[in-house]
Amino acid sequence: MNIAIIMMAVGAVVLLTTAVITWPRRNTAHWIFSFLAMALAVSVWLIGYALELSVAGLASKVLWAKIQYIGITFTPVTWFLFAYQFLNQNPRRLKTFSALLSILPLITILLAFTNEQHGLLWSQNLLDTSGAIPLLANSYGGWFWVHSAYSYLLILGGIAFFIRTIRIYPDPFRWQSAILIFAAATPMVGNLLYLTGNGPIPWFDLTPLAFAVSALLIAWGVARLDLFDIVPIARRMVVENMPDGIALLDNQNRILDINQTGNQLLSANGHQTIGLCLSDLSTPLAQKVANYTNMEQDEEISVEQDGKWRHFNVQIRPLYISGPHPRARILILRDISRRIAAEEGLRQRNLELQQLFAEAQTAQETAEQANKAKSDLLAKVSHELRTPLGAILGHAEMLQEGVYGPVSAEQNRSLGRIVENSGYLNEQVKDLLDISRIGNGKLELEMYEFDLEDALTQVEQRIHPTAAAKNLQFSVELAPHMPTRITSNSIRIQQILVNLCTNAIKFTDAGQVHVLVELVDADHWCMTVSDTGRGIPPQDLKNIFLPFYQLQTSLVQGQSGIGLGLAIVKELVTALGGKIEVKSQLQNGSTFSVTLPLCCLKLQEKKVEEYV
Amino acid sequence: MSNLENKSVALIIEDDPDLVHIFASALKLSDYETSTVEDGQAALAVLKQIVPDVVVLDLHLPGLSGREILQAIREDGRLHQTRVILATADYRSAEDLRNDADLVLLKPISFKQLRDLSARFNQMKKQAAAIP
Repeated sequence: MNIAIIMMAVGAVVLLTTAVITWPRRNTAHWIFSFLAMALAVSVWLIGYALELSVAGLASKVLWAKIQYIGITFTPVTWFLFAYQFLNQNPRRLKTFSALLSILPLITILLAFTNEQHGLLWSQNLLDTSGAIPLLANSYGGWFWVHSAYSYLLILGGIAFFIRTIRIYPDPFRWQSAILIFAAATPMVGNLLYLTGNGPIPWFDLTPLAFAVSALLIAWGVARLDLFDIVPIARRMVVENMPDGIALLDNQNRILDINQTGNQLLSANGHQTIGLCLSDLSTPLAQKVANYTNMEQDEEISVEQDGKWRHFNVQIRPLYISGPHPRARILILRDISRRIAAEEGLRQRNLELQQLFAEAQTAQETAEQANKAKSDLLAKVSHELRTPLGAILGHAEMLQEGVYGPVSAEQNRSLGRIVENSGYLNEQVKDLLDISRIGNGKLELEMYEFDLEDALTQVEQRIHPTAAAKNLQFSVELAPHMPTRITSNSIRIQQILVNLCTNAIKFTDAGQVHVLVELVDADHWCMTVSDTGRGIPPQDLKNIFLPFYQLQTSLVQGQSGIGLGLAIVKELVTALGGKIEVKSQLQNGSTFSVTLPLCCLKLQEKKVEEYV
Repeated sequence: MSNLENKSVALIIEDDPDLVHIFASALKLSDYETSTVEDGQAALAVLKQIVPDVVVLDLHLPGLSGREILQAIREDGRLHQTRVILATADYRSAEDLRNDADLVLLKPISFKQLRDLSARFNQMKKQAAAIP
């Protein structure tokens, strides 16, 4: 007996202590308010019950029974509210709701204290003294059943809320949820055991103790396992501290809820905006957003705020709670000013780049114009030089050929010198024209099929007199397996050979100059010009193909020319798709090898002939 | 027409008097009867009246360019047997017109070369006439 009393007293004390301990957390966990109320109600019940059992007389027992009813009636109410707050975190109109729920318990308490006048709660209060201690044996009046039904309804409702809460929580918290279900079921089990008379002590009502156990289990879960508050609070904190502004709007554009960022963005002075209409807010952003009445929107807008342009992404989504129609709209405001600024920077850079590009293009066009002008000038100069040269050459030849009658040997020699020098002058003009064209990158050579033997004969005819004049042996050899119909550019092939042979003769004082044309492999053929001349110094070998380059020795020994011959040869060989190599030893002659491809795509008839 | 005595006819279209003189001398040595015009329009008018065997054509001409005259010759059915020797100092034009002309000679043109080549044309013509 005493044990039961002590248990109830201890239960009450522990419960009240727990309530006090959890009190500081009331700002983050609103359910603490109803938890405290429940702890008080259960404590009143427990203490009242303990005292009812302790006192001896019927009148005293009945008084304590009446006082107990303050706890008995409010325990289901506070239990229900506790569960309800748990599920909804921060329910609206809680006070009104609580007041409505308290009407019936207040009536019950009133009836308990006035029971002697009407007997609605107890029809009879008797003292049963048959046991170890005297107990109150009551017969119940009509109101008792109303009160009981109401209490069970609230308790069941509370359990239902807890079960729903459990379903909301993610899997990792399932076993904490099991504690919650156990806690919820305990008072019911306790009450059922008492009412059916199956309790450990038949006359002892376990219900208040069961409520105490339940409340303690929950408190323990909260204190030790952070049973309920972490996830919802964390979620609340995340939304609250998000860099995006989030607001819940009703159909009249009123703000139902808003996070901190949203409040800062929409409110001019930082005051709370909940309950206000968007159009009532004075910030330009709020004014602009108020115009969106669509259920769904995703737009980027710019507003001038404090003299600065800011850019936002405005998103509106419908919020469905139940049923097919949206109950509210979720407004999400994201400040995208930095991104827009970055984009603007990028656009600027792009513009600058485009300008630079345009300038470069203009510069290139200018350069191209300058190049064209140079090219045109050279063409003109060349034409102007060649026309009188033609007259000089033609007249000298006519005299030589005796068109105007016989000429003396001396006259003929002089005419020969005129013809020879005109030819040389023409050669230099042609070289200049060629190198200017090559420098312009305009050297495009046409490829056609021609007779190689014919071309070689022409070269031989042109070179032979020059070689003979220096008493040099000059020979052209066509190797047996070399095909005679080849595809290339005959004029340029001849030009290459004439240049190489003229050079060879220039630097050879005695011996011979030999040209060999042969097949290298299935796809290539080669022209080799070798001489028995003085050779090229090793330090000059890498420079001899540069324009205007001349060997030091040739300057010393008074050789003529402007140093374009080999540069032109190199460019021509490259343009024909081939390559040129040179081998030389001082005093032991030089060998120039030009390797060219056998196959070319363009085949054309050749008709241009040229005189040097 | 003018080649009544079966003598070959050459038309020289060139504005430089020195070159006209040299070309004419070379062609006469190769047994041609020569006429000369110094500008493009006149050349076209003459080509309406005679059918030359050979035309020596300069590209840079006053009035009408050698290129246009060459085109006119090629489009005129009467002149389909006329051989055109193009004389130019411009290598690019020479390459361009290689297929339209029968022969392209780059200036400065050798007296001897023109004489020999025109002689060869004349010989070819006579050989062709000899075939019954």
